[in-house]
Amino acid sequence: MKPNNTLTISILSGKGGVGKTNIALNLGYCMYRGGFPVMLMDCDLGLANLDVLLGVTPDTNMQSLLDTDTPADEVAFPIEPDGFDFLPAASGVPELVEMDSDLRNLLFQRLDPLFNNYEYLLMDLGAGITPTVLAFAAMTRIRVVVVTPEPTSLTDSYALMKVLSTQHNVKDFYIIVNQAEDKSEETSTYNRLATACERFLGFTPEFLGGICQDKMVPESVRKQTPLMKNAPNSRAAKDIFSIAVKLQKIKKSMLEDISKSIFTENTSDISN
Amino acid sequence: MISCFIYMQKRLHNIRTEGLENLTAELDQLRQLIVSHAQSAPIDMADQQLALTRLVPGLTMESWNKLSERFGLSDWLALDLDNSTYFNLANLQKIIEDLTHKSERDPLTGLYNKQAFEHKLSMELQRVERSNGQLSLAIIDLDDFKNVNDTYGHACGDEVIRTLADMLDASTRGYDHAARVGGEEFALLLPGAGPLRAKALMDRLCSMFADTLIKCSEAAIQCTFSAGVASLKGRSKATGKELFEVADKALYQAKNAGKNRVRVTRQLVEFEYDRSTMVHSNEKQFLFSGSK
Repeated sequence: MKPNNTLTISILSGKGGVGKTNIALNLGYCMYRGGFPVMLMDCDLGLANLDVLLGVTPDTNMQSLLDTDTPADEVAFPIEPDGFDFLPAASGVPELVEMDSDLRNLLFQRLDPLFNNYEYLLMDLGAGITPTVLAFAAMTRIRVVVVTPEPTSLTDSYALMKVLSTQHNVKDFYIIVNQAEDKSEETSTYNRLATACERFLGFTPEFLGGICQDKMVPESVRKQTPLMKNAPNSRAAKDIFSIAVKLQKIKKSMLEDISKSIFTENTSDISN
Repeated sequence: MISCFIYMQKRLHNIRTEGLENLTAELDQLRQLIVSHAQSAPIDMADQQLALTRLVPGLTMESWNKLSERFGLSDWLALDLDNSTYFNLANLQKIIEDLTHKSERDPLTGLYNKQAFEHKLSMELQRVERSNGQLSLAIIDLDDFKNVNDTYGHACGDEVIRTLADMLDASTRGYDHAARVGGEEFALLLPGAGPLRAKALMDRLCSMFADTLIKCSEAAIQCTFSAGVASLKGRSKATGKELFEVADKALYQAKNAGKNRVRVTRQLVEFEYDRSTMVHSNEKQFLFSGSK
């Protein structure tokens, strides 16, 4: 059997509206252009919007996997040919937000054969600290927390890391600072969060990178085209590219771990 | 007058849906069972199948065929029990139903007896834990019931008990459970109801009952009750016994406060949530200012 080679990354934030989905999409696009097959999974179950960012309207979504015998590869929707796919979630289904462990297991059981085709599985999680968000975040090899310099974003992401570390014993996080005005605001935002974690929670999250404020970002959203495609030379696009490069380095260093299982051993004890 | 109307409605309602109250819960449980079973079962079991039959009173083959066509229910297998082939089967099922009914019911009032109620309670507790929902339990005790018996005799006492039982049965929703759990003590289990909704319902019942004149031989008896309500929410590990105890305390408070009233306990039977995850003010302060 071919060893696992898929790096699972969850993108989280605590607070909504900090650019999580957009970052997931563009990181995925970078990796795809770098020659690595990417699966983008919309895990904002119940209030999905990756499809909106992409301007596509898939007929099926993950809900079909739970309701019907639809094969997993039929639900995967190609964003770009040969290696950039996405798994759409349902919108307006409150039941999905509070998925129980049975349903979660069933979902991943159905998806598992599909995942091995990809080098990266990017999971765009919803905002908040619902059991579903926590369980998904605890499952992945890497957790990327997106923050902005706003105090509300700092507090919510801190709360999210605190819950994950105390309840799920997850203590490794990477931080992306989004929408900072300049590099010094980026650094001070990260430092503030990292010092608080170090002081009160006993671990230090790692700085993955910053993405500067850039008017090309909202423009690309309105055009429903990934920033990396619409404005690859913009400041924000360059920032995202550096982050993708860094993730690829991290993946190389983790290869041995991943080959055993694409998810962490945490999967078994997230049943509550 | 109002109580009488509700009573009539409930009885009419019962004619159509008797034996179907638990259908939703049954299907729900069945689905969960199949899902969890499918995960643990070996793959070669996938071809196995089983037909389950469930009695659906009041449905004819003709109307089923229409339903089946309209809603695409072709996975369901219908057997007409009115024809002679299944006569014995129908008879047997009827006997089982009668026996189950008798063993679960209080003979005087027709409400659930204590054992059956405790069973319902434990089922509902499991459901609350699973669905992260709400549940309220009301314990109802007739005020000064001994006086009624002493003054009007036991036959009239029974009439008072029957009247309250009918009111409880008639004024609650189909999925609420009413029971007689002691001589003059009743219990009402309200799935999905929080303390506010349970209090509103009990207050209404309390004043309705106090306004009811119960005719017995020549006398017209007026009687009241007191009630204590306990509620729980979320992933509770509370047992039925604990819930009963908390509701009992509230009942005691209602009696002490002068009877003919409802008390909702302030002691929420709630899952002790993990406070270690809470973000404290000093942590927030640090995040806002970068210092303590």
